[in-house]
Amino acid sequence: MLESTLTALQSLFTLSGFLFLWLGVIVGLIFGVMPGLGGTTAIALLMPITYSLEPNQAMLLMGGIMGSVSAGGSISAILINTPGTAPNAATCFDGYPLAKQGKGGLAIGAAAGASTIGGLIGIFTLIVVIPIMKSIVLLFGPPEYFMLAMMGLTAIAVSTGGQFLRGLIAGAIGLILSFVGYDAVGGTVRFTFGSDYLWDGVPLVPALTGLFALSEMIALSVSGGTIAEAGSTSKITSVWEGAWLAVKHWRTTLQGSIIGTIVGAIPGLGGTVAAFLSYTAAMQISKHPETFGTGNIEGVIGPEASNNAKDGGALIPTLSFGIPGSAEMAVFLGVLVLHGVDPGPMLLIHNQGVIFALILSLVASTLLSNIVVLGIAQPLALITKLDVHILVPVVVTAALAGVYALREAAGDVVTAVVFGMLGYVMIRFRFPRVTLVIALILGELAERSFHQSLNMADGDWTIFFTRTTSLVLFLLIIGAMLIPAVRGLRRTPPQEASQ
Amino acid sequence: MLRTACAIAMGITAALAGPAMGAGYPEKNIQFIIPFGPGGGFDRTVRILAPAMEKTLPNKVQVLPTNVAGAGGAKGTAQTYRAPPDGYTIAIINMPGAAIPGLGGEDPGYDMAKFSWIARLATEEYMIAVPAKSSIHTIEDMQKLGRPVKVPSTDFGSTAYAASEIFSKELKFPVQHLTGYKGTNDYIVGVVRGDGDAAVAPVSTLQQFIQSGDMRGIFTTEEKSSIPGVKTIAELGHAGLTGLGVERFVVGPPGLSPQIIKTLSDSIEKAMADPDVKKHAEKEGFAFQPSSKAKEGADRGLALYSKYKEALVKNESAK
Amino acid sequence: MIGKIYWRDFSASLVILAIGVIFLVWASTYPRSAAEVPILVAWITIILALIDAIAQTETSAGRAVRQFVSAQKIIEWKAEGDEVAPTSRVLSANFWIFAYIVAVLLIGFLPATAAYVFLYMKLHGRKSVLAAAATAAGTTIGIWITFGVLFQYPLFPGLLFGGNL
Repeated sequence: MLESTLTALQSLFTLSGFLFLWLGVIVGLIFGVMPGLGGTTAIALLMPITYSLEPNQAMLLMGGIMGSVSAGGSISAILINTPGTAPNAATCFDGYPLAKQGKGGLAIGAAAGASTIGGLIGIFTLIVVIPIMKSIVLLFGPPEYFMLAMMGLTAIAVSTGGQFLRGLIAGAIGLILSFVGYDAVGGTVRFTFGSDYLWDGVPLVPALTGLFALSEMIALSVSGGTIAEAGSTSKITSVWEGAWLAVKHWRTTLQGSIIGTIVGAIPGLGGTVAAFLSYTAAMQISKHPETFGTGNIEGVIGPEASNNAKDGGALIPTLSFGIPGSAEMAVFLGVLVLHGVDPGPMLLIHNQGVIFALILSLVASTLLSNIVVLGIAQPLALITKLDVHILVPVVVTAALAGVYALREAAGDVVTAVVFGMLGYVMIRFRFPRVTLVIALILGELAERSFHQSLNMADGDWTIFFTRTTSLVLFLLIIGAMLIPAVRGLRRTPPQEASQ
Repeated sequence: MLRTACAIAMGITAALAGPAMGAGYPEKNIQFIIPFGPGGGFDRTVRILAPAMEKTLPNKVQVLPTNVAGAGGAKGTAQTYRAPPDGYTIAIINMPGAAIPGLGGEDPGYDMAKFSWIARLATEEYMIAVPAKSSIHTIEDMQKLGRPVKVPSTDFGSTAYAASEIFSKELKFPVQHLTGYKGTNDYIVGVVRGDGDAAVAPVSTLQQFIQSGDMRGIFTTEEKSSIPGVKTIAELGHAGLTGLGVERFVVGPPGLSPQIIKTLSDSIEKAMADPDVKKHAEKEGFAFQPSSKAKEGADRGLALYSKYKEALVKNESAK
Repeated sequence: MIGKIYWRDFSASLVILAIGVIFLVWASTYPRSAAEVPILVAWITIILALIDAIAQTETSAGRAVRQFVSAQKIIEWKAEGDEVAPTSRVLSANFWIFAYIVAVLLIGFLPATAAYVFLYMKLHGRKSVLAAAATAAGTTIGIWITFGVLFQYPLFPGLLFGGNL
């Protein structure tokens, strides 16, 4: 084991190794910043380049990408309220208000700090968990997945705070959309208007890009002006000040990291769900929960820590059994196989060196990408002073080019625009978009696991309660739903609030 | 990046040298369609083969791997079927995967029998395995279970589903399909976990789980078993099932001229000698057959699966 | 006795109700096990829409719902504040994106991008011709270099120029 680590280290400290790492970091940052593109696209794009590389070098490249994408995404989330990748959506809630107050640099700094710590915790957890990885993965079967999906759905519903009702409605719409497509459990194609395009369901990345990025552009198009309001300029030091805040609020950072690692480790849940859960968790342990949404830095720290921790988590099922923990991991597995590394239970036994190279690369990339972000945050924050009418067309065209690049399906571009307009309507009518997205992601998993569980148990629904892990998860759900109710009882009833 | 620069350079050279080279296929880039998303087995195979083909084709053109994912592979396959038979669109397809929708009576947008068969690339036999601590050791155990054997798979049209249906009919044990898993490794782990009783999957994939001690093999459809302790289906008395598995073919649209087919087939055959391809081929179990034999192989496969047509049609009333 | 109705939001509730009903009918056309969960969700949507509709009225029931559900500003919009915008501006903002998409489909990415950026900045944003032209050129070249050359992604050539959907 030691020699594998040494070989991995050696490959890192060669010139070419270093260059590949940097290439990955830069590409990851760029893809992260641009709405519509993300880690999956970046890995798929660079895959051909890896053919002629040695496995360790390929890992340096891939790790470089994986560790930096979310750092890039936080920049757009904070500065223009447009998540660069889906998991950055939660960062918008408090990041953007900070940008509007002229504190964009501070927010980016905090994001970078939290990302670094979160990423390192995620990787550390992965390493620690390696010996028992397989047993952990074996604990989660269809009934457990169903419980987890329900946990995600109810947690979102319960913690949207006000507009609880509209949050639920948006979630219901998200569920409706999630049923579109081919259902592999029953073997039927549903709600596709007979066309092939929707066969695999509503395409997620175009929908998200439209829902968050394009709708925001439409909103800015309507309001005009510049993003940053008052004439306050943030000092150069504020970026590093922000990074320090991530350390100061260590509880939030730690919590976000843990949530990110765990949720990221569960195939099907993913980074977006983790980020939002982390945001609501941050709100719950905060001393000033009512300030969330107006520019509370903890609302940036929590989700951003989770965003990088999830990469470590997603590697757990990927490395232990070859089950991709996320879409990025699915493409990454392809890269592994290309280099003679077979994903499966023998991976760690046969290919330790390669895996250590990857882990090393992730660590290095987490550090490097966030340092880069800290370096360019200040100049980048000037975007918020830019007239919105210059920003809007550039972002729209770049985002749609990215969406098209995904699958070369013109339909995806149309989907993005349709969701963009839907998103704008939701903004105007006060329907939360995030609950729609979470439901869209989790709906398919929930229904499929439900049916799978019943099939497994020959129709006996008590399976959800006779399996230990499933039962534990169920109790957690009930507990989570009761917390706000208990809190509500403790507080004095609110005055008849004005509309 | 380097590849991009080379591509640009080659493109310029080709453009400049074009007219001077005279007529002869191929004259422009060939699109090699992969009916699945990036990262899978088919994707890898084509991306290893394509650069090697570029070296072995008579003229200097590019072979461009293009992913056209969707509808479980039907989209890319149908797109190839509809393309003009000029030799500039070819595809890799999976048998019996691509054949199953048609057998079931749906119209997937193509007619399997009409494709132009260029070459057979690879073949992967199947195996049945159970969790290491399972009480099932033999086919008889499965017959005597007293209830259907639960076999998880990804989907109704999948090769594993088809294979397990065929095993069920031939070897006379009832099977209950648990579909909906997201991938092969996913449902294999499901069996290890206890969601189901047995997993049907390619030998190369199950091999690892046997090596790691998580699973135990019952039989394999190989001609000669590569797993110690596991017998072949022929040794167990059912030789008719030997060779049941997944085959990868390179095809072109119906009506491709024999010369073009031969050019492509020869090019692929020579590409097989490329060291990168050879390395990959050994791992993936390539068993190359040129165009002349490929059609035979395809017909044989189609015949075998047609025999079990009724079993492969998903049965609504049975649910 | 209905009393005052907040029509804007009330109509939104009605739209949701309609969606729920349509979905319910559509889902019922599928075989049983495929229809179960969608039908359940359809019913949930319908019920929620009805409750939401009631919440938009000034009846005692309406007030009760509003208090229970507590219509504070939700997190997503604390920053935005209440958007009151003239309808014409809303329509024009949406129109621009719609027009861009149509242009992309017809004449392809690069020409459409150049045209859209230039026209948007000039007409909607009231920028100078120079600024508009410079940004349009910069964006189009940037996209071409990044996607077309560097990443070798194809950019949709437009239906009129031979692309197919």
